[in-house]
Amino acid sequence: MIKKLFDRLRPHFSEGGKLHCFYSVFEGFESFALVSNETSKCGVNIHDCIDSKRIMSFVVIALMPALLFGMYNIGYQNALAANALEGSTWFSLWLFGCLVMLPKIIVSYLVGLGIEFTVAQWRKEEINEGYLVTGLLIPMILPVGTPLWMLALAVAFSVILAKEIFGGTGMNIFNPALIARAFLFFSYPTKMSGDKVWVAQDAIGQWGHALPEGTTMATPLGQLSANLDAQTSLSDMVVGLIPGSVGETSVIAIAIGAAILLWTGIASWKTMVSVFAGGALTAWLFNIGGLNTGIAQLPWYEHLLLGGFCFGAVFMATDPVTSARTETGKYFYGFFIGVLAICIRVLNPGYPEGMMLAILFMNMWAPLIDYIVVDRNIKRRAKRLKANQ
Amino acid sequence: MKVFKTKRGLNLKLTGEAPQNLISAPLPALWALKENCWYGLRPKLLVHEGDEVCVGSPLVADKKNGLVVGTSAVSGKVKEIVRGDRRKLLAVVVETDGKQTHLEGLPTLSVDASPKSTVASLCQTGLALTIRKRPYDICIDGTTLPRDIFVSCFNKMPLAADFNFVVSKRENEFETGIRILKNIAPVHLGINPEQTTAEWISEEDASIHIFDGPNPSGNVGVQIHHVSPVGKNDEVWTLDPESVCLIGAYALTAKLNWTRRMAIGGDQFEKNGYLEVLAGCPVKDILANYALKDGHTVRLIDGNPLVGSRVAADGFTSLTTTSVCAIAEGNETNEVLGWIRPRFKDFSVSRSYFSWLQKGKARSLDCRIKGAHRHMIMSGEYDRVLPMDIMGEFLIKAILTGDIDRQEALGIYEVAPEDFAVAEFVDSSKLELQRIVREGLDILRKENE
Repeated sequence: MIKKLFDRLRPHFSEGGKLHCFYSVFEGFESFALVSNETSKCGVNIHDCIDSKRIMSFVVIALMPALLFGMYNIGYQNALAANALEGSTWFSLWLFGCLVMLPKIIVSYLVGLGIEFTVAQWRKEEINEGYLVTGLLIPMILPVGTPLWMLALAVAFSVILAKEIFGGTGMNIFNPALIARAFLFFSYPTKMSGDKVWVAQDAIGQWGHALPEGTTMATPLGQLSANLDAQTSLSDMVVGLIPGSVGETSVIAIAIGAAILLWTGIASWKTMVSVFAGGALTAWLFNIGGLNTGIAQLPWYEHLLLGGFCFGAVFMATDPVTSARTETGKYFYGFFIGVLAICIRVLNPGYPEGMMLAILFMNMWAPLIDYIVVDRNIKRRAKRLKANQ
Repeated sequence: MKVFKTKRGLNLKLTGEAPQNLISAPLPALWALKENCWYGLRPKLLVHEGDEVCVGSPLVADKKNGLVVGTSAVSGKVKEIVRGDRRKLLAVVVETDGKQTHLEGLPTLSVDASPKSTVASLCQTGLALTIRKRPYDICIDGTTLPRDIFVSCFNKMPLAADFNFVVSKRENEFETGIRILKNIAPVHLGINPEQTTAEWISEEDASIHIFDGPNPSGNVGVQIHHVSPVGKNDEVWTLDPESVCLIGAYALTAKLNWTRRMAIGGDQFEKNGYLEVLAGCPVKDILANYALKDGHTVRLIDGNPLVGSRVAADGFTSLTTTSVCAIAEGNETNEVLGWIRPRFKDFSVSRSYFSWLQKGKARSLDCRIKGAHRHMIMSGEYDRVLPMDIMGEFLIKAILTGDIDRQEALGIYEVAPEDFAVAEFVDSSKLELQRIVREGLDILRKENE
């Protein structure tokens, strides 16, 4: 029945049809609803049923625990700031968070997919499913107080300049979601850091609480960076009931996502483990190094639990397109992300969160790491060939 | 005997494996020499439609130096010269007279002959067309002698022929064939651990190497890579064990006999088994012995599902065909939201599907690509199934970008398209890796000529 529906609609969208300018949209929806029955023309006659749609949809599934908890945490932080935790049900807290997040997700997808469809139409290519993940990641790595217009601007900037300009998904150098965050961070710093952006300020209908103007709530890393005592318990850090970007606070939710990605083999354990190893080692060195700032003396394991470290290690550093593509290179790539993230946190007082810049920086170096690994392979093989002759 | 253990690869089991039941087919009414038999040579047509030919009569010759000829496997009359675009020669079809008259004066093969005369005899009899050379994976041209000759005695591709069965009771032919080849260059036999006790494998005339690992450990390219890699200026010849038997049989009888035991596999045949038939026979002759099931659009494959090429029901097999398969085309299947369904019946190496719950279960796969063509997204997919110290992904990228120096440095001379077959199967971006590698090799060959 669905096939017949698409067959009936196709002439309108095909060349010469009235709606031909929306052909990429039609094709995108058709390939979403029906698996293409295209058969192999040359090469292997049979194929594994894994494809990029499956991979992207599993990344989205892996993001769900962090997203759902992030929604709850939005309501929780709002109620906490309004001193109204008692009397609030978990569902009302989650629903408020959901109502806050839904417009952001919708705007992210509308703007991003709109650009992707336009580019696909222009290039006469099939729409790529890569934005399914990016479109969800962007609202999750931003503070809850980010205005929608700002989000739309960041999405447009990243999709056009970080992805499409390089040729689309699979060809980009930098992680588009992090480029969106970096764009906002440097363009609108007051909306991306400080202590006024981490809690939802306004009620939505009967849900949530309108907070008095000037209500602040700093992240633990923000407090430590200002040499204040963070007073956040280890359990809160693990569970995630702390202020922060929407998706990054709950270590448990992120761990569930990590388990899904590692089990399915979509994310590289080499990259993930190396990020934590690099971060733990660097934080430990700062612990024993004698630097007397609050953030330098934060125990190494708390460094890994706070901020965007876990989220970045699991969902951002493992992006197969922008990370190192050689298996050996993944160890170095991940390790240096961990090292850099902690260095930026500790050594740069103006920026308590270092994960974004660390990953973007290593995105830039990933091709060089691969080059070195491949070069070693070339030399090893050449040596063997020479010895054989 | 040295044992090479390889870990990378994928053993894929498909329904419709050929049991060891052998049927003999009568001499076909038509026979053809197809263009894929002379890949890498420029053919010069030596006959015209209506010409009478005998077994061993030259039909085409290499235009470059005329040393290698393609000979007729039957006696009869040239029925058709099939040409394609720009008059490209596609096939020479011969109508058989049923007499199988042999051409007189063909050179004989002797175990005492010199390397050059052995090669000359192989070229003049047309048996040279069963031999491919590395680098480039093309037919030999008879002008050079190889460094080594490699024969892989097993094939782990799904639905591939079992050479233990194919060579059984032809041990003498195989042994003689190896002795003939030994005249030309050192011969290396690649076997799997189960073949160490096989009667037809002997250490007397060849070096034996054991390859213990999943598919594609049976690929001769993988075996060459581990034993003695090929460089730009090397030349290594490869052939399958049954072709060795054909050479041996000619040496013993002085008569060309292109009869092969082809594995008939795939779940779209009503029954499976082996067919003893003349290589180059019409596919119709195979279907007369092994009927197709009704109901599905079927793809017939000259070869196995990973390495073979599509062949029409009115087409012909090749001189080097060792198996013919039939699997469902699948183009009438419209799967709603297939990319998110569990797909219990399908197969995937990814644990996002549930194939891992039924390891070793035979699958029935159709020819759909089950996805869409994308840029290379996931990393490490090729390396997991390429048991060579070659960075497959970077080699493919070098070919795509036309970077010849990089291709050479990354080892393009060591690979053939078939070495990337398993990688192409598991590729989530659905790139046509075998086509890409073939194009890369062809460009390099032209550059180096």
